[in-house]
Amino acid sequence: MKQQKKKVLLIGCDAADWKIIHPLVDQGQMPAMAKILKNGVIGNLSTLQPVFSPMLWTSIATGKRADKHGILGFIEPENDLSAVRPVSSLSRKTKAIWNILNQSGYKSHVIGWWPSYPVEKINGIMVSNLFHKIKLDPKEWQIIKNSVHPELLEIFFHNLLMHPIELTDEHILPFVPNAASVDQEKDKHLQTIGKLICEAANIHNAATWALENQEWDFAAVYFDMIDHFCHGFMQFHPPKISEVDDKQYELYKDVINAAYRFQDMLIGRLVQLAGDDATVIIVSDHGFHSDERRMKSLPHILAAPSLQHRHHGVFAISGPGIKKDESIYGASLLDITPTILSLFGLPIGKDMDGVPLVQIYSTPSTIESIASWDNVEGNHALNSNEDRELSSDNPAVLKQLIDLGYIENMNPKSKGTVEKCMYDNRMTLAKVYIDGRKHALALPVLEEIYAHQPDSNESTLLYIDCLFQLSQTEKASEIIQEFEASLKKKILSKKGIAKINAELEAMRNEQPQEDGKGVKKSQQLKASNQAGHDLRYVKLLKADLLVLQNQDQEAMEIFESLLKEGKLQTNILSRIGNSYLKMGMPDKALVLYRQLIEIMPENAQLLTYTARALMLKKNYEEAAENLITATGINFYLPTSHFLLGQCFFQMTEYQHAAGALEVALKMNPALSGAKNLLINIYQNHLNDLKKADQLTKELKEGIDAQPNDDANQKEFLIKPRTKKIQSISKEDIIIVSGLPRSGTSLMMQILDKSGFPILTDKKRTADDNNPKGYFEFELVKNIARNKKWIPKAQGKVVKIVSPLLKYLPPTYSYKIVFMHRDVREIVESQEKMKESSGKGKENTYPAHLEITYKKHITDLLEWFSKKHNIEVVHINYNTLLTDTENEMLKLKGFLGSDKPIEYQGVIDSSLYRNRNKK
Amino acid sequence: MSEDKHKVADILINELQQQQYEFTDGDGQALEINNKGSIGLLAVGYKGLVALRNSRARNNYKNPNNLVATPKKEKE
Repeated sequence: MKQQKKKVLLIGCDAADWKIIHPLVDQGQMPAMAKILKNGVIGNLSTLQPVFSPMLWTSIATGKRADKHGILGFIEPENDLSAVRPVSSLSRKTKAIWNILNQSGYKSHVIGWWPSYPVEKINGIMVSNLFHKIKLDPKEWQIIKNSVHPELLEIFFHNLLMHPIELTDEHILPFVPNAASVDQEKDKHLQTIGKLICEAANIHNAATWALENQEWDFAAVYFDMIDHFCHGFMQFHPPKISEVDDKQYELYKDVINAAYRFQDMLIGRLVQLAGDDATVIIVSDHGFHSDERRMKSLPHILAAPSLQHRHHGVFAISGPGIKKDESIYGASLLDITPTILSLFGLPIGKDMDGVPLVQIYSTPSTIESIASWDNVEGNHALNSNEDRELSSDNPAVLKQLIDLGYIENMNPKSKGTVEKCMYDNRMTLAKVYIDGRKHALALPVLEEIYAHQPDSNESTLLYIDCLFQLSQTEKASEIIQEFEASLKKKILSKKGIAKINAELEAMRNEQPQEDGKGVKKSQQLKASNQAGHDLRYVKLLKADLLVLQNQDQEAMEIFESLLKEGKLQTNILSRIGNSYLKMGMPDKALVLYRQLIEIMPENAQLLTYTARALMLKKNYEEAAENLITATGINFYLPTSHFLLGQCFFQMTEYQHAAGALEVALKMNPALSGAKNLLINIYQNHLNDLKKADQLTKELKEGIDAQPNDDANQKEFLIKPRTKKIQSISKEDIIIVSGLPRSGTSLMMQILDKSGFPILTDKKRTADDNNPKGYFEFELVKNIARNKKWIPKAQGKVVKIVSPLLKYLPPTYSYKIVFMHRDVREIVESQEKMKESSGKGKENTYPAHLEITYKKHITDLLEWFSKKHNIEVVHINYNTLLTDTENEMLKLKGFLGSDKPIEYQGVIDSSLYRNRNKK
Repeated sequence: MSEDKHKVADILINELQQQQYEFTDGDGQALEINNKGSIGLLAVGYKGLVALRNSRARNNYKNPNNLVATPKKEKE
């Protein structure tokens, strides 16, 4: 399969940031980077959420988000849940670029990539991310097995490791010119610098040997030096932060710049060894705040140091066939692997979340794609589950992560630690889903976390947000109330605070302190402060809820009172702006957005919100400018591309509009609004009927469908409510679905009464269990084998119980009204129905069914998210009975009907028998 | 395997130690190889490290830090 002689050198510099690099390049202090800048293409590289390095470097190496590659944090539970361990190459569940190249006949060297322990047996050299780590006590320093491939080179490479005791002042003075004045007994900063210099040198020694002494086609070298220097010394970087001691500032103010200069020297040498015919790519997974956004203290949350990471890393590429001295906009770290594949002329996996950065090429070439590299047989050298035994306990790595503050100090074998790790990783998975706009998948994960950790403020807030995104307002309201009550319990009175402060003061004067008592008191104070802040956020959420319930006046009062309080955090201001937009008040929203852009000029989301406000004011030109800037900062915003398409459409620039909409659809094929607009443009303005037909056909056949949810579309629904809702296509099939006894018959009755045409044969007549009728169609039960009746359902409503949905053919468009009901109630109701028909036993409760049904619902939500031809509205049976009007509004919006939804006389709360009896 | 690994290491290290090293920096200026070492020498990579250690061995130089720790052999 190997097609051509090509050399690609990928250098990863964790946390490298243009904000430091550009000034140093301008001063001539980074000559290697200057050369790459002059001879290549550079740009920002947008990161992913959450900004956890092992997860991000795996996304760089796979082109996939963490839900697909499986690395969710720094540590993970052992399979038997007996302990926690650092994440490893064994945790990766998809092929990395070196696996793909291996099976395509290319030779790779991979040095230090995080996480690459235990090493994979590729055709080339692999040195793991544990290889270069220093033990300050040389007596404790020993070889870590499975860290070098081929194993024969293990001892040789260990001889090339350098220990800080080999360093002299010649190594330290470039970082700290006045190092002689440091009292090394008290101040350990010099020791840290020595350790980081050696760790970088150790990676570099292995890499230089591999590049110079072995053949290679691809080499990936990862340095963590800049990230570690930034976490340890960014507080001393100019301009001086008032909290930093003057003497310490003078001593260490040049450390960050020195680290970048050293990194540049290492890059220069690797590029030299790679040769002029090699393509060199420099990337960082994120940046690091070096200005007024540096954090003075870190909050007590998971992986708090990652909050110091800026959301843009660096991307630079130079080599044969690459444009010179140009900039690229909108690159993401998901694009690196697809771009490397394109450099080797290999097809891209359609399951990859990134795309090749074709803009870098002087002459564009055709790029092919395949469904997934994971299905391609060959010698990929990916570690298998059987290799799990290779992974041994690694207390050294755990200690390193604890020392860096990424994880809390812990006993890796305690039950509490394992459980915490499990839920932390579930939380990360939820964030990953949300970052990928897959809210329907995030929801069951957040529900699970909430059930176990209702006191966790961070996950509860995320849960509520997710419910909002999925329009589950009733549930959101319930959780907000519970959350508010729990926060209020944590808030201390003024008296209580004064008392604790006095006790803490007294303890400080006593020697020795009573073990742990002071810590507990401090934590109580912190929790109270945090609860106070979170209560403000809850206030905002309640206002958002009122907006969704059309109670604008009440919502406005809350917003105004919040704004009067002042000193609001940026996320609160931004949400108030969004709510103003929802209420059709673009001027008020614009005032807030513009304030925020002053503080965060690189926030693509804010620029998009601003554009949306401008669009409401019909200022399409300015809106388009904002959107072009936004997509330049972060290309992966399908919403922004869709809005840009709408702006161009309004400006009658149809060709540009089509381009923007194509991009939006590539990123999120579920954007039906974008599809419709694009077809309209091709049909009516660009006279390209072939494309319009092809697009319609492709969409029906599900070509290029990618997993996603309809959350993005919801953002587009935020427009003035007076806007006419689009009517339903006659080709759509409306399906009422859910588990038996979840309220599907009730929904059928409502739609029947509202005048929707119903597909029913009326064979099953009303009975005591459904006194108002079933509205069923007999042939549906045989859908697995007979689908001939489906065309009859077009433009009609048909009831299909949820277990049969998977048999729906992909060539039709469906709008599903999905009924939810408490699963316990469903089971009880089914049992009751069986009992009345003489098929069940009295007073039995099959608990296993409850578990099976819950899993079925979770699986279905995931399935929905993967279907481009299915739109879903979730209606809760219980909410339908208690808050009917709002649920009907939601239904009306979803069905896009001009007709009112009639429910009077249909909804009869006495039907809600099982609950009422309780 | 362990014996083979040591043999390979001995051969390769020996080969590296036998070589004469001269390096230049990015501007083409000669890099000085002395007992104290330098950041520039570290940036050369494995050859820079070997050159530094060779120089120190030749001159019987002892770092004030009482340098050079050889990693312990793995436990078989």
